[in-house]
Amino acid sequence: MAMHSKRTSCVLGNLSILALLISPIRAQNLTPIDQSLSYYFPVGAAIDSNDLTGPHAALLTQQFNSVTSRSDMLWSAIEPSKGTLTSSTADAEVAFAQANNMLIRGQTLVEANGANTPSYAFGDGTNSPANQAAVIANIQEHVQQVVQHFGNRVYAWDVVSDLIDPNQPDCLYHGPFYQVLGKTYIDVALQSARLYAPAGTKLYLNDNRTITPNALACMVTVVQDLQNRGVPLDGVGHEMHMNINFPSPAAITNAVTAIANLGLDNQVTEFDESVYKAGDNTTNYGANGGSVPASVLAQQGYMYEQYFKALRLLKGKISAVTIWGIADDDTWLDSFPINRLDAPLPFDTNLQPKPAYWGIVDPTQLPGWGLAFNISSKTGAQNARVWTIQAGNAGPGTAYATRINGFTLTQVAGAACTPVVTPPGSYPVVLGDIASGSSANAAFTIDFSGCPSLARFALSMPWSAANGADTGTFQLGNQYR
Amino acid sequence: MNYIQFALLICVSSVLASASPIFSLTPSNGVVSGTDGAVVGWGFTVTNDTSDWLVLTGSSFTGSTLNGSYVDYLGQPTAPLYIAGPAPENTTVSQSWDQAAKLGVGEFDISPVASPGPIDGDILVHYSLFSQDPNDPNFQPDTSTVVADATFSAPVQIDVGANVPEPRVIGLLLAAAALIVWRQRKLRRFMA
Repeated sequence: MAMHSKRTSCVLGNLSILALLISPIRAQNLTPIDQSLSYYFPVGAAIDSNDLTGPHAALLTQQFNSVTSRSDMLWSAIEPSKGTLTSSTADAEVAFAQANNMLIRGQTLVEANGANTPSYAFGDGTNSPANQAAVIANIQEHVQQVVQHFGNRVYAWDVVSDLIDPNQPDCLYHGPFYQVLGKTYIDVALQSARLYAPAGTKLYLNDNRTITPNALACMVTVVQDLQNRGVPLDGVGHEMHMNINFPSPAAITNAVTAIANLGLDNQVTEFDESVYKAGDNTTNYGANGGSVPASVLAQQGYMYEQYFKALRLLKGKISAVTIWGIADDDTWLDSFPINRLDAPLPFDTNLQPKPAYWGIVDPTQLPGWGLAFNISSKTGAQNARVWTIQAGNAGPGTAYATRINGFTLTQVAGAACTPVVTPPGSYPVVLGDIASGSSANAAFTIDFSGCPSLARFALSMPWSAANGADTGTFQLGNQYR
Repeated sequence: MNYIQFALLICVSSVLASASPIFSLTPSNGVVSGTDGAVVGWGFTVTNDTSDWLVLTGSSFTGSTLNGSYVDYLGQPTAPLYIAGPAPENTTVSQSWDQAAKLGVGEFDISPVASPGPIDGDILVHYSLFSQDPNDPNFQPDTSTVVADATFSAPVQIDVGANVPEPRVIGLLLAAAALIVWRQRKLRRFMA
């Protein structure tokens, strides 16, 4: 998707000075994200020129070991007119990364949808033979200019981005390059990159839609076609712009595994997670001076934990992960799909770690991780026995939106009988927000009529917290009524 | 009875009165180790010197599960009935860890790609206390339940070691090295 945004200038006022004073001191005690994942893959961040100095630079170099220029290597930024490379900003970013021993991913040589691309690249936009030749030459010239300029300072390039459209019969997005050249524009870009980039440079197709089954199937089809025709390609970049409720971690596993099965590498190229649900283009937590609810940030933290657990399990199939920014003070999602407050990154606007950070590095620090259940009492007669379930939160932080989603007794001993469970309300039984060090109760009435005294049961009680992102099952064996 | 004897009696009495069940894992320090993909686990010993009967009912793990997952044995429907207490039961009950039979406290399944290093946490073990032996045919849970559900907590550490080549692989490597040396010597002899 290769979206980009610019940090608003007001951030460089007093707030920034305060952050400069506070952030590095606190950040020094934080486990670096790249260190916590060094066994698995390098972890990078998308940056712009504002990240090269001050507290952002300090956080960037402390937490990450790879960078991607968010917008300064895009065609319109680096070659706005044919033959003239305007690379000073990208050069500064690359120099910064090199000075700090960081890897550099290049993004993007050709955008299938024509975004961030000067109009000259498409010629007159027609598929006349003359224009086809001109556009091929444009692509070849641009790719050559850029990859040769950066040489072996850039170890991997997203050569073509956002090329998949599962609604098209040929699976390809019918953008301006496609209108002129059909699918061969992809061949031209990849072949040019292989021709002009230093040996060993990794070449990727990059797309955001591989987290959905139809688009993934399309990507597999497109890649197989390229492989069958001998077009050079090293891997697929999965952008992975997630939402608070979508996709499931299994989508990551499916996408990466499908590409690995083709013998190709995978990289996650633009990871972030909006605090809004997929398709929600109206909600704005920032309206009227509001902020993102702490429960949503906790939910996001648990989702980060699950996503990065899935990524860890794909060790050997993924060679890099890039997060699409450093902190919430600079995210493209503040203006997409509408102008609103979003918070998709591991660090907040004051550059302090959020639950999302802890989800990557140490989930035991997530709000409500210490939530645990027990049966605090069993009282009453056999035909109306009351089991009181207590949810205690040892912290750290609040266990938000805690719920009991079921309550099942399985008989394990004694003459067969059928206890009838009456929950305190319909499922889910809502226990609400449980602060650190506090507890909440729910009383289940159970009719054990017909059950002998020696009957024993196994209890299984699924629960959830953090708006459903933290789940578990409280189970106890050998329970007498 | 002099003053000292009286004081000692009070002391002993208070200790006895406050006696509480003792739980320990096997191994007792809670430290187990394994490589990527390995399954490790814990047995236990529980000693209950009180006048009540103790029944183990479940367990859970509090640490990070980024590099693996915990499986509780005691809360499963198939879990044996472990009772520690006065006669005719034994005050001390032990169970070694047996993965195949799912006996013990539980197991930790180390991720196939876990990073080397320790995984720290606690195992919480749930138990119930009854004033009557649950194995007594006249057992009445409605009136004899003293504590419906309490927990022991024991620190554990799973040491994830780096994968080392299997003996077969080492053997192959040694054979290959020997072959290379033999070829080089033969070549040198031929050249001479």
